[in-house]
Amino acid sequence: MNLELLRTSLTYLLGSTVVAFVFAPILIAFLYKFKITRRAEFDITLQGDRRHKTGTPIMGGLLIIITVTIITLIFNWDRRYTYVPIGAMGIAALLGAADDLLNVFGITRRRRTLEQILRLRKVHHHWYIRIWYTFAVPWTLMRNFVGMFGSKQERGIQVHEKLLLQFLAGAVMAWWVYFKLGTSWHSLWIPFDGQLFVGWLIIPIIIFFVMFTTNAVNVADGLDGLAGGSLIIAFSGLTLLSWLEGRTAFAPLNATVVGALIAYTYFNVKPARFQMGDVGSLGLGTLLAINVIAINRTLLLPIIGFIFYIEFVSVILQVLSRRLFGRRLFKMSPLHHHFEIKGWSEEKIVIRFWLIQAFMVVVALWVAIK
Amino acid sequence: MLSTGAQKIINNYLNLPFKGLNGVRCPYFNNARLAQRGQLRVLVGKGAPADIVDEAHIISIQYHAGLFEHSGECCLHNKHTGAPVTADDIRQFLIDHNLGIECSGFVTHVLRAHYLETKKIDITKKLFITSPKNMVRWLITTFRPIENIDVRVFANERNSTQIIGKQTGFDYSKVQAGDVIIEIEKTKPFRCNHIILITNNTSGVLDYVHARAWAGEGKYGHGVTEGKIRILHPGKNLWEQEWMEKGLTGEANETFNEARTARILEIRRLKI
Repeated sequence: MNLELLRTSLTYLLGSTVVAFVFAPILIAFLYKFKITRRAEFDITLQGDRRHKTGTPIMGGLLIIITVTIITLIFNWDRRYTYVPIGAMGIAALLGAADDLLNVFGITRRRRTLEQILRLRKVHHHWYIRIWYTFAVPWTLMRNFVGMFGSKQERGIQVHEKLLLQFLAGAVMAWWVYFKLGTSWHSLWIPFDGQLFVGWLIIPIIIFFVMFTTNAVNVADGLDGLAGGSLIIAFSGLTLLSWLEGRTAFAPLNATVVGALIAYTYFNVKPARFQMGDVGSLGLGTLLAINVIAINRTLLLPIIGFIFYIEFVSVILQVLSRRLFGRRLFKMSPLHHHFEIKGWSEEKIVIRFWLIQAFMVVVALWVAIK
Repeated sequence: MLSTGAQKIINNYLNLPFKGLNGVRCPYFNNARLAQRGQLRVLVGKGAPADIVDEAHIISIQYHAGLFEHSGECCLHNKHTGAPVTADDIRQFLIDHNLGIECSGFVTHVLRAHYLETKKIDITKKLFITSPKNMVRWLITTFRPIENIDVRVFANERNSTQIIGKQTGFDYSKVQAGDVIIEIEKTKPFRCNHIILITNNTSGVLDYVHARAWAGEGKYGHGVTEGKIRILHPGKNLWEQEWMEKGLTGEANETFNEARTARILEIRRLKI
């Protein structure tokens, strides 16, 4: 047993907790000062017994992103192993931050229909604008297609734009794994069955898992403490696994995330002092996927991120059921809202989901070690 | 007579099965104006009574309207304002959130229950909606038949036969419960096709029920309603008879006014 690595990891955990606790009040003051808060005029759910959430700062995820980035840059910067995970997390967090800010300060975006674009492509009096609209046609088609599966947003970054940027983050990650980490990553780890050589197919597999996990964590960030607590459990399991496998860069990196998450969740439990926002959920979702893939345990992701996957699968099933059969499968999706409608209290849902997540992380460790 | 299952569906539309509250008549809602595509069945005016009740419960909790408990019980008093909750409040809530039923959706649900009970046939799988030549449309109708059954589907020669009309004559004794009155190709101001379900035919009186909205009833007065057609002139067309609804006849009865404008006004029976 590499006790030195364990001690190093615990040091990172303790250090990032302390740093994050010191940084948290400054961040909260900053978010209040610039009024980066939930506003009732943009959020129709802030009524009745949720009215108290009006004015709660969003973008609390910055606490984790900044803490992890600073500590890793200063103490755990490894050209081979940590720069890409931190970079990809940064790309996703930037995307999330832009979305959060546009949701608060952005104006309602104009959406031209496909018919309008096709017409403008023919009749606009500037030739270069006509060319521009020609390129806009497939983009609008994609927007319409994605729009069939989600709700229409009037503010912030649109779903199809988010998907494209997440695809880019996944592609960066896949490039790194395929070309930089060595040939052992060209095989997919199969639980109980060793390795399966997949060659270049690992690239779409990685992109898929990165995009899926990123959105899954984003979807699960719907109740005070839910995403934070579940991420603590997932990253703790990952720290343990990295330590058991002797990953000298990833064990401290995961421990750093756990430390920052402890401080974040301390302030995020009900009633939350701030909320994670897309900046945190997209960034941490990407990092979770990357850190599992980087230790070559890709297929462990649905188990180690069980709650996130279940939440996201519930959304997908609900949308499919609504579009195909015109009926609800759950009373509401994501799954935590289903239980809210059924009358479970927020605390009950969050704690039960944490417990399930903890159990599944133990299962993940059991599968991985076996 | 309609089967007990069909009668129960009608009663549920006339008195939606909200727990702890009686007397909420299902409002009328037609998706034509909003034109929502691929939405929940209940949000496009095609929901069964239980679907409408469930959706009202979910929307009330989602938007914190304070009308329902989490168990689905209607609150005696609004959770937020403390005001007593009445059937009118619930109806208003349903209408404000586009929950209701339109004419063909209503008839589909009732006749589906009727034929399931009497002939063990699901009419939504039997009715011809569109040809497989139009592959995409056909696939959509296969997955979501109820949403795609409209008045013209009921009027289609492949699905129903004329009982009362120009071709078959006007022998009203042939009319049975479960037959439908079809109104197609109307003139202004009534543009929508309409379908009415006949529930009984006794001694020259046709009882009917339908989902409709009268302009005179304003924003919150419409919904599923019963009425009668007294056959005063046997052998003559339907618009020569006396239509009575809500105690109103003649020009005051908008259902009658609407029927008069239809180029095709006939009674048909499903070929099942």
